[in-house]
Amino acid sequence: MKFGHPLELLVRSLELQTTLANEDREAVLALPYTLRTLDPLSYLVREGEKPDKCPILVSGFAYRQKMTAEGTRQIVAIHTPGDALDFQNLFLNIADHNVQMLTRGEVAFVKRKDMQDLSLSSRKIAEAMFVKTLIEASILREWVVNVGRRKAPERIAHVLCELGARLKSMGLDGEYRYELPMTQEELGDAVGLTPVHVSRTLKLLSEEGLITREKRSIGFPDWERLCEYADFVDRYLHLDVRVSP
Amino acid sequence: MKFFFHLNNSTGWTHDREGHELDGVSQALETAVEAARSLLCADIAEGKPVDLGSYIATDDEIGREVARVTFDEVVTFHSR
Repeated sequence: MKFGHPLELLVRSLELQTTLANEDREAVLALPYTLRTLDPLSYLVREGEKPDKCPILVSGFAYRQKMTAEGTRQIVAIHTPGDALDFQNLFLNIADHNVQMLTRGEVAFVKRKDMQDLSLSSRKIAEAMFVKTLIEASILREWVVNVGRRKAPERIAHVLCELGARLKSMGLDGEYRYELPMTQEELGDAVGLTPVHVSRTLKLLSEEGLITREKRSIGFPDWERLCEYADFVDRYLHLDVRVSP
Repeated sequence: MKFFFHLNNSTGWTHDREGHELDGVSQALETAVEAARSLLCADIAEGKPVDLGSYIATDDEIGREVARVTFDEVVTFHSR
């Protein structure tokens, strides 16, 4: 699916849960922005810095992460096109975590002040942004459960299911197949496993017929069975929940 | 430098096709030890049989094995 305006994906993402009026849509699309193509690992938000812009992911993937004092990384969220990468810091004055590009991709940078003004100008836009932030919190809760309580195969299967469901909601994936945007090391940092453990687990999932792999392309021969195996219920993504007026 | 961590256990080889950028052989060795311990922990926690003869063969960029970590090297058992 192609989008002409870089912020159209944001509108689409906001409208997954909240119906915007025409003037709200136009206000989002009228936001001044700077479009940049960034390489993997480029920082979009740095811990400790004052946020002065609100990046919108237009293409590619990004992730939210925190580092320990020992230098180990925990990836706490993966972002897909259409995601606003820093609604969480919109009204906070210091970033408490990092956001980096996972793959090469395009990002539209909107000035934080412009995004703040937009959120205060329309009740519906404010509601849509609030809902997105609540859903990010919901996803984070699920990730805590995933890393803290599920076994390695279920953990990895769960992340694969989530990515598939989110890409599908934005009309961005192929049917029951997508290109995994992460190395095994990055996937490991998202689920608290070493890369060797990830490698062994992906092999196990393949042997059990739950996934197929061809380089980075992951296929799902039986999506329902994988979801059941992974304990994946997409309720926490709130993909089909319309906000009450 | 890029290193590749290949796992050998009772089910055969799990090859690392991506590799990992690390500072040198000593960091690669640390990574292999950490990986072996992580796999052992998971197997023990899940009540699976523990194969102490499993090992992680670490290759450098040209496919030369620079380290081999056997699972029985990375744990110490005490019985009383």
